[in-house]
Order: sequence, then C-alpha cells, then structure tokens
Amino acid sequence: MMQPTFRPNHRRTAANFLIVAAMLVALLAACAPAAPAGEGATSGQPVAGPTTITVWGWPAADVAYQSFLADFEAAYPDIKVDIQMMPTSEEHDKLLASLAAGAGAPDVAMIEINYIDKFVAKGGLVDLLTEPFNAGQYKDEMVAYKWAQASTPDGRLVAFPWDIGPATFFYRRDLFEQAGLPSDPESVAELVSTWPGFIDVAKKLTNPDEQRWAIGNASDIVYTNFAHRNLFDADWNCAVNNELAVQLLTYAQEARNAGVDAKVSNWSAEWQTMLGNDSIAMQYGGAWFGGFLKGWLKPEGVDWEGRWGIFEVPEDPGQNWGGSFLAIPEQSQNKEAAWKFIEFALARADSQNKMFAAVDYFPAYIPAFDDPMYQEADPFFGGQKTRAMWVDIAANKIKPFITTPMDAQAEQIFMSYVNKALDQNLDPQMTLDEACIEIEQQTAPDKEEALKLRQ
Amino acid sequence: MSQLATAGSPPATVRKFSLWHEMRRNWVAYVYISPFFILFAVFGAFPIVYSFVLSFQQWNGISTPQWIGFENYARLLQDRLFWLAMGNTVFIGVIAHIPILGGAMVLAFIINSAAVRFKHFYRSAYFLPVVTSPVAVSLVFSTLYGVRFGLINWVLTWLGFQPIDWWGGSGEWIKPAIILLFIWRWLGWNMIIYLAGLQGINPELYEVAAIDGASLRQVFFKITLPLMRPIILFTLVLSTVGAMTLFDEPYMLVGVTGGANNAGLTIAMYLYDRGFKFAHFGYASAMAYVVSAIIVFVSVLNIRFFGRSNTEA
Repeated sequence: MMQPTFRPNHRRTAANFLIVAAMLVALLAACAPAAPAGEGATSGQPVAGPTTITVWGWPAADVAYQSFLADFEAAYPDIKVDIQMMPTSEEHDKLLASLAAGAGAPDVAMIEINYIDKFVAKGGLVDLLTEPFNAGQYKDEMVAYKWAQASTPDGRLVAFPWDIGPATFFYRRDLFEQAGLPSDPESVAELVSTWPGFIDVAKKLTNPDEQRWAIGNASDIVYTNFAHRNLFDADWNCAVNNELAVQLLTYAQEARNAGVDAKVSNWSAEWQTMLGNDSIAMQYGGAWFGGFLKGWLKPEGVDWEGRWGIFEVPEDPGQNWGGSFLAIPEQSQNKEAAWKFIEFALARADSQNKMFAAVDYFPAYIPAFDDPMYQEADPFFGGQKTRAMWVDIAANKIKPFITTPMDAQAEQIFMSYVNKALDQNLDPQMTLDEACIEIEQQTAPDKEEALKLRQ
Repeated sequence: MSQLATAGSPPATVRKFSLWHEMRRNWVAYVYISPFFILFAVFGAFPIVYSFVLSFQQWNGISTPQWIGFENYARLLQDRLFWLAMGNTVFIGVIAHIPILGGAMVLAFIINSAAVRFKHFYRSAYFLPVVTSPVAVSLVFSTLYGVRFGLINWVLTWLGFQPIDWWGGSGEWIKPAIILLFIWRWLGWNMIIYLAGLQGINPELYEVAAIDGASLRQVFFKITLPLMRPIILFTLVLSTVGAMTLFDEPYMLVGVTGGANNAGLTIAMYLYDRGFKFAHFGYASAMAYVVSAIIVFVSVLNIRFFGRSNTEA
C-alpha cells in the first residue's frame, strides 16, 4: 500500500499537536489577567499556607498602607498583603472593567468620593452590612455624611469609609505680609469671614506686574459649596440653579472681573508652576491638600515651613472636598481576609492615625480624633492648630448634605457652565438654569435606574 | 483504498466540502496560524459584534443589560453635545489635514529630490513626533500654551503683542491650539508615507521628462502627482479614520469636557466620557456605530473620488 506523502506519521502528529497546544496555552496564559493570588489557600481545604490578598490604590495610599502594615502582619500572620498602585482614574476604570468582566478585580479596592456614586447604584461590590462583615457596628463611630455616601438607595453599604476632606482655604502668610495684610490666622479669618471681605482681600493680594494673583481660578468660589454634593435636592431634582449657587457664581464673577484669579485650572502644570513661583496666594482644598503642599507640590529647594496657614470657607465653613473608601468586590476569593484588612486599617484609631500622620488622609473614624496629635500645632502651618480646625469642621460644622448616583456627571456639567459664565460674563441665573436643563437631560437614564433601587 | 479513490476522481459531494477537506489535510498549518485568529476573535471580532448588540441596550457595566431598541440612537440624534462634538471633530479634521497632507507632500518631494543632503536626518527629524510619548508631548505643549507662563505668550508679549488667552473666553483659541499640535504630530507620518511612494516611481520617467525639457512644476503636476494617486488615497482614508478618532491631543490639552464651551470636545472624547467615565456602555456603543458608519461613508467617497482611474504604472 502506498503511504500518501502529505500524510505525516501519527506519532509525529501527536508530538506536533502537543507542542502547538503548549504554545497556545502559554500564549493565552500570558494574555489572561493574573489569577487572584492565594486562590488555592481558601478554595475548600483548611487554610494551610498564608492567604495573599491583593489591595489596589493610588499614590500616596501605598505610603499610608505601609505605615501600619507591620502591625497588621503581626496581628494576622496568615494574611499576606500584595499592594498594587496605579493612577487614580486608571484604578477606577480598571475596577469597573473587571467588575463588568467578572474577573480580575482585587480583594480590596480603593474608591474615591468622585467615583463612589458610580458604584453605589450598581452591583459588583459586597454589602458590608451582611454576615460575616457586620460593618453596621461601626456606623455610629463614622462621620455620618461619609457613611451615607457609601450607602445605596436600597440600604446596602458597598464601601467602608476611609478618610474625609474637611475643606478650607490654604494661604501664604508671606504673600499676605508683602501685600500689607495681617498674616496671623485669627486676623485673616476675621477679614475673610464674608465673600465680599474675601474679594477685598483678594484685590489687595493681586498684582499682575509682579505675577501675583489671589486665587488660581474663580470657579473655586462656587465649588466650595458643591464638591460632589448638593447638586440635587431631596427629590433628586437638579439644584445647581438655586439661590446659593447663583449668589456664589455672582461673587465668582466679581472676582474674575476684578482680575484677582490667575485663570489656571487646578492640577494643571501651569497651576503647579505658579504655586511654586509664589504666584498664587490662596488655594481651596481638603485637609489632604496640606499633604500635597508638604509633598509633591513643594518646589525643589524651597522651604515652605511656616509659610502657609488655613482659614475656613467664608459664610459657611462646613465644607468637604474629597475622601476615599475601601470596598470588597463580589468576585474576591478572600473576602474574610479582605474584611480583616479593611477593619484593621479603617476601624482602629491607631492605624487611622498612623496613616493620617503619614499622608494627611483625614480619618472618617471619630474615635481617632481623641489622639493628642489633633491638638498639636503644625510647624508647617506656622504653628496653627490645623488638625483641631479640621476636626471641628468635620464633627460640628458640616451640615447633612445630599449625594446621588448622578453626581459625577452633574458636577462635570455644572462646572463647565460655571466656567462658561465666568469666561463670557453671562447672567448667573440664566446660565445655571441652562446647566440644570442639560443635567436633567444627560442624567435621565441613570436617575431612572437609581430611582428603581430607591423604592 | 478510499484514499486512492478520492485522490483519483473526487465525487461531487467531496468537492462541495473541499475547503473543509483541505483544512483537514493541512490541519497542522492551520493550528500554527490559529493564534492570530483566536486572539482576533476574542479581542477584535467579539467586541465589534457585542458592541453592536449593546447599542440596543442600556447597560451600566455591572447590572443586567436592558433591551431598549433604538432608544440610544434616538437620544443620540437629540444630544446637543453629540452634534457639537461631531462639528468640532469635522472642523479640526478638515482644517488640520489641509496643511498636513499638502505640507507632507511638498516636504517629501523636497527631501526626495537629489539636491538635499542629510536625508536621513530630515526623515528622522520629521518622524520624531509620531514616536514621542503623548505624555511628553502634552507636557511640552502645555508649557508652550501656558497663559501666564507659556513660551508662546512670552514671545508675543516680548514682540509687543497681547498674550493669547488659550483656554478662556468662549474657547475660540482651543481649536487652533489643538490643530497646531495635531499638525506637528502627524505631518511627519504622512511625509514618510509619501516619501515611500515617491521612491516607488520609476526614475526613468524623470529622466525622460528632463530630456523633454519639462520644468520642475510640470514634473510635479504631470508625473509625480498622478502616480502618487493611490498613495494619496491611502493617506486620505487613514486621515479620515485618524480625524474621526481624534482623542489624545484634545484630551491632553483641555481634559475630558473639551474646555470652555466644549470647544475642544471631539467625538472620541465624548464616547470615552459617556462609556468609561459614566458607564453608559449602550449609549457609547451606539455612538461608536454611528462614527464607524460615517468613517465608512467618507472612505467610500474618497475611493470613488481619488481611486477612479488608478494609474497602474
């Protein structure tokens, strides 16, 4: 019988097949996201080796984690922590993608206030009020508004409060002195207790010939009262055209028209340069902004020690900007270990204060405020008791406010209309009415979806 | 025995499945080329098909998608920002590509001519922006465009002109800023393509033209341009796709909202914003399909217009 020439012999074929199959497997393995580490440890058999949990975050959260990690590993020798850092927006995009895909999420995810609403309305994160987490026991020990932000309309808690952002203006003492103004916190606070007073001070600080402006962007005046909140009323109707918003926008326009703002956007390269060049005298920010000033914003070779101070937002000092949460994705294989980590990090005064000392993430955990550190004077702020001020704002001054699952998108539209009104000097009421029409239109599908949960 | 029979005179039924038969005969070869097709199916074909399905659904990325028929498309047609973004994209694309394609052709012609020395240097220099990291580019250009501390404004004030308020006002300077950056980034890319095309033209044609006493101008318009027609078509199609998917440059300069009056908001940015920032995946998918349809339509127009008589040299 003739053997057809094209036909390879069977053994060789099998060998070829194995090689090719091996190559394919290797290729696919290289492409697939890494399997959650430590999966083997918890899948069925009793815990033999250590469990490894993956924890995501963005800088400077790694420094924060490191500050208490040794304590955690001493308390839970069976749990190893794998910390993975990436930029803020990338972390959230990746988390959303892995929740949608059903694989690839970490055991502990970090979520910022600006993104939390996106996750509140949806599934994918564990309800921390259920067994075995029972996070409800900490409810009274957390700053109330922070707890509310992570609660869903149907009463679940999808993320655990980490830090809050009691917000103030930060000002440069030396620049106030150069402008012939008093620079001690008490006198400054008196001068800027109202917005007209604030604008008067701003005019005195501004000197374009010396490349100096009072604030970076006039839109911050409006933003003080609307950072991630109060964009809707209790019935979830757009509220950014209310009296307060119109009043603040009018003040902001007054500031813009008086030329006291540098017209730069926060976080832009130019803004950073100007802060370093003594060109911006006042900046709005959460408590975390103090950490930025001590860290990455401080220009090379400049000593800012003692040259900054803070004062409360004029007229309504109870303001908050920013803050983060930790959450456990449903797909995590190590939910209990993940919860132990979160509990240890966020519901213990010692770890919260270690993190606060390391990176200025202001605890949402009220018992942490008993630490003597909060009554200490901060030499960076010229000996001002900044921490005590922030505690006072967080615990006594912030009024309850409204957050909704539509906030991120509404805020983006709102602020773009605020900037439009400033840039083109448009009528505040009319511009904000237009903003509300657009907000209602753009957020309609999300609102409909979220209202279903609310019932 | 059956082997021999099929090899001798294949019956009709076998011929019908001859492709399958061939695949079975050469299956090892198919296994070897399969990685591409498997990866393409997973990362290319599946998303394309799935996003078409998604465009008829409302899906936030996590909960169960809801079938809503053509509602996404209907909303898209009434979406002010969608049309604004579309207008911005077409405006930036058209205005930027006139100097890009025209300039690239002229530069390629000059560099290709025998008179120019240091050809390698010029080729690399013009191509450099394409391979530079977008982050580095954004840093450099934000220093150039700075309002208070920008290099351009510094030069302008030094010369006695008013400084430009790049991002303020009603946003009238945002599009020029994006267009300048866009031209800088993509001029060299098109020039390299044209240069490759020019080098494919038979030099004898130029010799003949020289013998016949043709001027440089005549050579360019009578020989070079007609022979470059397929290359020009190629760059036009690429440019259409590039313009409709314009994202990096405006995103780096003005952020996701497109700056004042959304003057720098392009369709790709809006799609990203709605899809990945606000998790409206169905809506973003519908938008992606509308954009694809426009790209196909414009490309067909280009082919009709420029590809009619292909000068097969």
